[in-house]
Amino acid sequence: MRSLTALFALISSCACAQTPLVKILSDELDRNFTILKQKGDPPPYFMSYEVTSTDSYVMVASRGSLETQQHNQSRYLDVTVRDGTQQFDNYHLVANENRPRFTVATPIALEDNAAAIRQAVWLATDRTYRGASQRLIRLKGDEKLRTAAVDTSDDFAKEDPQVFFSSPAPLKFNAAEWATRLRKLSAEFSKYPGALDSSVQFETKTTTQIIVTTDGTRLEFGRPFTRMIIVANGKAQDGMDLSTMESFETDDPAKLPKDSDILAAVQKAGANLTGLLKAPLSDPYVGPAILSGRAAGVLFHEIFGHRIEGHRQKDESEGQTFTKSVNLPVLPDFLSVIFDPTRKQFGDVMLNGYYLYDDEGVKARPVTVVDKGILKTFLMSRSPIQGFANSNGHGRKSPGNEIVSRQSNLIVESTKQVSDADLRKMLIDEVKRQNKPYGLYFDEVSSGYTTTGRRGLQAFTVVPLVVYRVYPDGRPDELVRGVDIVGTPLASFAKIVATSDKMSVFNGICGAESGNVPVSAIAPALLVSEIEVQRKDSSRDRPPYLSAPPANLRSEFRSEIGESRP
Amino acid sequence: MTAHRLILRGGALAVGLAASAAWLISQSTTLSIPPDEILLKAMSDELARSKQLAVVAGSDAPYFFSYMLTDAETLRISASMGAVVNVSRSRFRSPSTEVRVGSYDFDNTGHVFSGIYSGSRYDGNWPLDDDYANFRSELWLSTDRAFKAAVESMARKRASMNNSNASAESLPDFSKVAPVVSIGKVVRPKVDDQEWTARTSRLAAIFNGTKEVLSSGVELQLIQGPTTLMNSEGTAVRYNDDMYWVYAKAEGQAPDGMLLHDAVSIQSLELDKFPNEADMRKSMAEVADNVRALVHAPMAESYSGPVLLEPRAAAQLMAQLVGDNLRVPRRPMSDPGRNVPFAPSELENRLNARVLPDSFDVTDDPTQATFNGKALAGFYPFDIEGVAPRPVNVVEKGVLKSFLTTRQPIKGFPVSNGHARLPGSYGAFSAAIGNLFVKSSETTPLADLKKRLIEMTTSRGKPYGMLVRKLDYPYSASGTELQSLAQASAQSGGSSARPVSPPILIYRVYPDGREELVRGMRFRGLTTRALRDILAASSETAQFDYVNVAAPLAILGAGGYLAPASVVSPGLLFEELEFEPPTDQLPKAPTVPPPNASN
Repeated sequence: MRSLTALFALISSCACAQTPLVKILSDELDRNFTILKQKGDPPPYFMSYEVTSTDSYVMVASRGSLETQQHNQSRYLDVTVRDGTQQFDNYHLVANENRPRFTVATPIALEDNAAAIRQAVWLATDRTYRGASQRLIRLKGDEKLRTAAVDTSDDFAKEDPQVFFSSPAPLKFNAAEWATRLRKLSAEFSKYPGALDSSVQFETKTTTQIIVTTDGTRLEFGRPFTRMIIVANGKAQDGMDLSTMESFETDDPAKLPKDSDILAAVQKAGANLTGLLKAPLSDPYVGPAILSGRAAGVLFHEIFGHRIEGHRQKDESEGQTFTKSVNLPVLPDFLSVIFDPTRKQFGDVMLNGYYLYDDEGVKARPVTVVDKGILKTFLMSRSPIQGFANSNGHGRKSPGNEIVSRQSNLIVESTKQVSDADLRKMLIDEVKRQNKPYGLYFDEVSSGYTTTGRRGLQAFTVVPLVVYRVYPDGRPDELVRGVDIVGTPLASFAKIVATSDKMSVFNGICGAESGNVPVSAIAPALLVSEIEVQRKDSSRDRPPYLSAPPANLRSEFRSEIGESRP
Repeated sequence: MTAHRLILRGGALAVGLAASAAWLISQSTTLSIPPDEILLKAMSDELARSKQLAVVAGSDAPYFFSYMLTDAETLRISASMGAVVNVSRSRFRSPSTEVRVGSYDFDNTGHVFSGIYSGSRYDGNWPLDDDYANFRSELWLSTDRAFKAAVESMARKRASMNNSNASAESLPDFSKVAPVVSIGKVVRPKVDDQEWTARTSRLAAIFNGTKEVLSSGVELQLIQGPTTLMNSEGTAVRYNDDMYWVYAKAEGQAPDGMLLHDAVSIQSLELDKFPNEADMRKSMAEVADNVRALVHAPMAESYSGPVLLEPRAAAQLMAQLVGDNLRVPRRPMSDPGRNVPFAPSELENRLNARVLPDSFDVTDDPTQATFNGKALAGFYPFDIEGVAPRPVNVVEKGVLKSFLTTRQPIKGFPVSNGHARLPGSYGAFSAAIGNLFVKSSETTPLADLKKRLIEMTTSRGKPYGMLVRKLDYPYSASGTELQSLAQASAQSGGSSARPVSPPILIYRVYPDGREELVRGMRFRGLTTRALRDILAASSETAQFDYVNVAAPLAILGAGGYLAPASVVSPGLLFEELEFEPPTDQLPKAPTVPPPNASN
């Protein structure tokens, strides 16, 4: 019910009429498609234009000073041209050949200037059409030389056209107010001298997408997004680089936690880093462990989620772990995995993988991928695979990339739930039963939230950040550093014994073939009977030779930007 | 230690350095820094403390530290066809810290891996607030990293040395310079973002009226901010490092598919001297006219014979053939047998040899702020190494007499003449021109040179001669075209030949004096050797301003470091130059007509 209410709220805020840009794009689409169908050789059978408009403010503060302040507005056009037929077109995959890319993100006018935009769209269409027709002609020629593909499904799926118009409210941002807040919050890191580099990063933006296709789809939709990322990095005496991170996401800056809560997160990141810098090195270990809900979410995203993306089942260069596993058990029978992009919130946490339509204009819907341990389907874009002829609204990309199937909000549901306290008891019992000196508790894992601003977002990797040894004899848990999960993690899913009755959310940005897309993973904490860890590779350069300089922060030695200089 | 040299000169005033603000007139080795100069205070304090690194360094103790910081406010606007495509306003401080270990004679630079560091990085994000503690902390971390990188490079260098025979001559790695103290007042003229956005948009609309222009764009960059540099030798300088820059590009397609383009770049070191909108419009309207004319022009054919370069084209050519070859990078030390990427100067071994006819003199003078009442783009008070530039007589009576130098000594030139302007390789900076003056003691009016060109072609029985009015410099074509140009130049001029910007406006001059624009011409096998065959220079000269970058052909809009420069040259008549058309396959015209045509 919650997702439904959210949807109504959005619709009621919309103007529900097409904006001038939709009209400009539709006109140019019709004009180009009509002429190319008559004169193009080969002619296109499908075309679409997508425009992604972003308005964003990024502000970063470190130890009480502002470090970055940027405002950016952009509008990028992507063009899709499909020549040939739905059965065989220019996107057709060929063994030993990379997935083709025809589009280039083309910046277009920020204002709705018809002449300027139509000219840019026309040129981009011409360039894309050339690439598309050239590849199709070549593939047709080569086809005779190739053996039949294993998966003989079509290259493109028919979907119902969608029409929907809604625009997010324009961005409001008070730079001076946020600068003051971020300075204050980030100054707290000065209390943690081990944090050689630390920051509190704030980003607020709205993204609006327009999709017009020759099937008649006319869409405009968007969403606001705000997040705060708290990062601390340091170097242990033996050279190991360590970092901790906290983050908050919401759709409205006003909904971020109050400063005292954010300050507590800064203190947590600082204290965790300080602890890690002194923590003993982890030893290679095989034995039972608990993964916190967030850690479990990331693992499911990385290890499971990426393997059930539809396009990988067709691509012969992929491992195709699950291609032949439909209707077979792939997880313990008490676990189900649902991808639900229509879900906007979990509790009061906004979900990063929420959207109304995917990047091919297909309506979002919940998809049960694993039902009680049995694999039911894959995440599908409009690129069919054997047995699955249609999209389920998971065709996603960032500007300048071609669509593949991607994750949205991954939700792990369990019917074998116990309280956190019981889960911990079960871990200790398992440690004793296996006669191990200790078990492991994975509290935090990293995400791709390494930087914002100039250097752009990075992809997401599973690196355990905060890991404890849990002793069976009642000693306090002990923080360890340098843990790296190894072995076949897939096998660890078979070793899931039970789950917690509380779910946690991990919001992140996922990077893959089609660029960076926002995603979430929601999971309960998991008890696994066996996990294998090794010591991670580490930098060996030593910490700074000289100690930190004296921080005599005298007030006359400070002036903030915006103030007039003497 | 030598006494500090105080810089007080008219040129400093011209860039807004109020002389009264040069408050550091100190003969002692300790600077007295007012308490409100937080950056200088932090640099000076951390510099003093960094010397403690000598204790941990053993044999490779640091002997030189340098901090440089540019405090930039930038406004960038892109527009096309009367609409704004991107606006970004940002403020950033880009620091650079240098640590050298060893000694002036032998240090960590000049090895193939110099400057490469394998460790982790904790510095790099400079605070925008003036915060003493955070400045110190950033300087501390960047010094630590630069020091570790230097020690690592030094170890690799020693290892390579151990494995190779010492070269016959050995030059010191770094030269000494007298410390300079000159702290200018920070002046940042106000710019009206909205007005500039509207102006850029209006300028970009110029191309709307020209149907031959298929794609076009105008880029505006206003960069304001002082650069501060302090080093362990006692140099402390701060100067305004502003640049106001707008450039426009337009492209069209000939009926046979050939893509044709033109561009113009307008730059100024001062906001006051930035041309007004009407002048900018005029320059950009010429670009539109040129593209229109090129689209309808006939395709060129190979040519070998006399060529007249009008003064602007001659200046564009001299910037490349002379200007770019006046920097002499040192070949880095490496392991025997390892291939090192390295582009030597064509003039490297030609000191005291004739490179131009006897009547020619060439000087580079970055200290000159104006020429004939017009501002010069290549004026600068200090180079990247904090060295005040000196005028250099490069060519005297046709003979090569000097190079442009940085603090990396080269054979015959042990000291810097203040020309370190661009990032270089292997731990050194790269020299580049400031204001290059090409003069001839024997000149002829341009109209007479054109007559002479016709006489020469007639006497050789050629149907026409060639006249060049503009080169594509700074280079404004696509990356693919640059690749094709580089390949062609390597094939026609041998492995050492560097590509030279092709002509954009090149005309056949018929015996009756008629000029006919042709398209698609490139120089063939053009090197500095051609300069010896210059027959005559015109009495008219042109001042050509551009923004040099650390990229081949000063590619328009590429590169982080910008080194604005000017070249003043007369027109030049060459006995013989060769041109050839490109042999690349031409793209088809778009299947769909442009949107404006169908409406």
